[in-house]
Amino acid sequence: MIFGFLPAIIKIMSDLLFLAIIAVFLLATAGLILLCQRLMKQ
Amino acid sequence: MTSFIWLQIVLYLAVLLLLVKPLGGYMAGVYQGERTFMSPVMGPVERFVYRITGVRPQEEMDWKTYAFVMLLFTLVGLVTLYLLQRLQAILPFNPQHLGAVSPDLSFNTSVSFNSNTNWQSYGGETTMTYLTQMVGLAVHNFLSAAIGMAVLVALIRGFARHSVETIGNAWVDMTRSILYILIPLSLILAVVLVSQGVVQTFGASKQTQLVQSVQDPAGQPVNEQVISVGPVASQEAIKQLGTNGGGFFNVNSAHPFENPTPLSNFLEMLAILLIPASLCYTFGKMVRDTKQGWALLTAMMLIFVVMLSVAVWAEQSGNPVFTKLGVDQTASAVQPGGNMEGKELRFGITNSALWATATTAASNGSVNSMHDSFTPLGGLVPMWMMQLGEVVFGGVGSGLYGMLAFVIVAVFIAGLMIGRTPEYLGKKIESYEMKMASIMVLIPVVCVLLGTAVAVLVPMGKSAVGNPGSHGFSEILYAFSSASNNNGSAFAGLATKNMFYNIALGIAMLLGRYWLMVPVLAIAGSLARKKHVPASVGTLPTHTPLFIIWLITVVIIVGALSFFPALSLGPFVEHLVR
Repeated sequence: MIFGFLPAIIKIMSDLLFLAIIAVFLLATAGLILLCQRLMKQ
Repeated sequence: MTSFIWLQIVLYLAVLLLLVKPLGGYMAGVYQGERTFMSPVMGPVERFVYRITGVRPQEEMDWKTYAFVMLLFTLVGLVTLYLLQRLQAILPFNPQHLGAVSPDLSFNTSVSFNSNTNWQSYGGETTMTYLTQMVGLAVHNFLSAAIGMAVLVALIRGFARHSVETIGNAWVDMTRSILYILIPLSLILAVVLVSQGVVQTFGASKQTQLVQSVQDPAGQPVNEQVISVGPVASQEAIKQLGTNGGGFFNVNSAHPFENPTPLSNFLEMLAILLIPASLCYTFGKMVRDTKQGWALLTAMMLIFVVMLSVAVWAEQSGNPVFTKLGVDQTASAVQPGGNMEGKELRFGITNSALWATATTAASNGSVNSMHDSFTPLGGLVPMWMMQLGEVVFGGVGSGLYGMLAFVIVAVFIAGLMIGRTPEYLGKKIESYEMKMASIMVLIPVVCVLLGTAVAVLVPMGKSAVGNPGSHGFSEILYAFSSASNNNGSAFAGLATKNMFYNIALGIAMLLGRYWLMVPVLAIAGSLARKKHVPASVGTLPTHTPLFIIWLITVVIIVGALSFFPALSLGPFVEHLVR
């Protein structure tokens, strides 16, 4: 039964992986903005 | 090099230069909120957009808010385009009944079109539905171009303003870029392209009978051919004007339905450099010193003409292996001569080399010939044009803000040499601006070299190479140069439709685009806060031939020092051992 759902679960996991890459990148960019802001104040 | 070759090049550059002042002046008016001839048409649309989105156009932003708006906009764009591709099979406008795009390819394509790169690891006509092409890809052609233009305008305001915190309103700058500049120009170009034979239809692909039956690999007779069509002209126009480059068809503008005639070819080539070149004049106009804009345009134009001459010469000289065999490769009344492999007969060598140079000078990436088939030195030109950081015209907005980073480096070095505080346009260039400019110069270089190094080490990177040896290395180097500098053209020969390249090139595109925008906006914010310093006898003039040559020298030295070792392993070796 569980193996019947396996392909669908793998597909969803793949989508989540790539959406996670996008999320991590955007968070890192937000971090870069804050870092540049800190450097400017020094 | 015949006089006819030069005539084509001179005509192209003359028409381009003639359009710089009127379009550049118009764009300056748009960004300064002045009334233009488009205001009666677009003014109500603009106000309607602000009303339904809740944007208050009079409210200005500091650089950090501006950057976060760009980030938020990017987040929405990346996720929606990703989901659109994944769900396209169950969405409308899919007469071909195409399936969902795979997760890694959806990621790569979403990043590619959001970052104005338009790298395509797929054949458009066999992978993307009409809905994905129009609502996803063509829309992002407008949005990604508008983001680049908005960031440039914010930087220009940083130079033009003094003692303030704000650099404009990101929503307003993007909206105006689209409504007043990109849509009107695209509409005109799309209609002209349709008149030349570029297709524009929602109809499904056509089946036609072959004149002569052929056999498929299994030995079965094939009597019919599928001819792909679609809404091509509307995508073609913004593809060129927005320096996007992602074609409707797999072979891009070499396809007769994307680029059917010499006139369509001329107009599409003109559209590549039109906005990036004109933005130099916009810059001069907005900082109230048009000489500065002309100086930057001159620097770009000089690099462009020299590199173009090398490409045309290399391709017109032909293949030396054929020369040894006694093949006549000279241009004459009955043959184009030179290296015609991978080139369309209706465009010939000059227009293929001109396109290749223009598309890689700008971060366009569309092609009308296959760069992989260029001679080693001819192929070196587009590769190095990208590696210079896409600052020779460059992408719409991104090219000029990249060049302004080099200007900051150039005035800083010049200041160190003569022992004075560096200044540019009345603003002191200090360590903070220099740090940010250095980040802008270094990030693409790191992405290209590191990405190439990893690709030649891992099995999935090496297995995609179509040609062994130095040419195969060039293919990988070209791919990472293209992605990291947001160009999008491909050397072909490299089978990048695998998990490794989709992820690696996707990350390179993200870093090459957004990690450059952040320091640009930081510089804009820093400069806007500074006081204006009046010019004195100690000020280095930045509109003179001396400074233009100095700026070119800095761009070339950085490009040469960064990439000479890598280029030596690729095109140089290939040229020497052939």
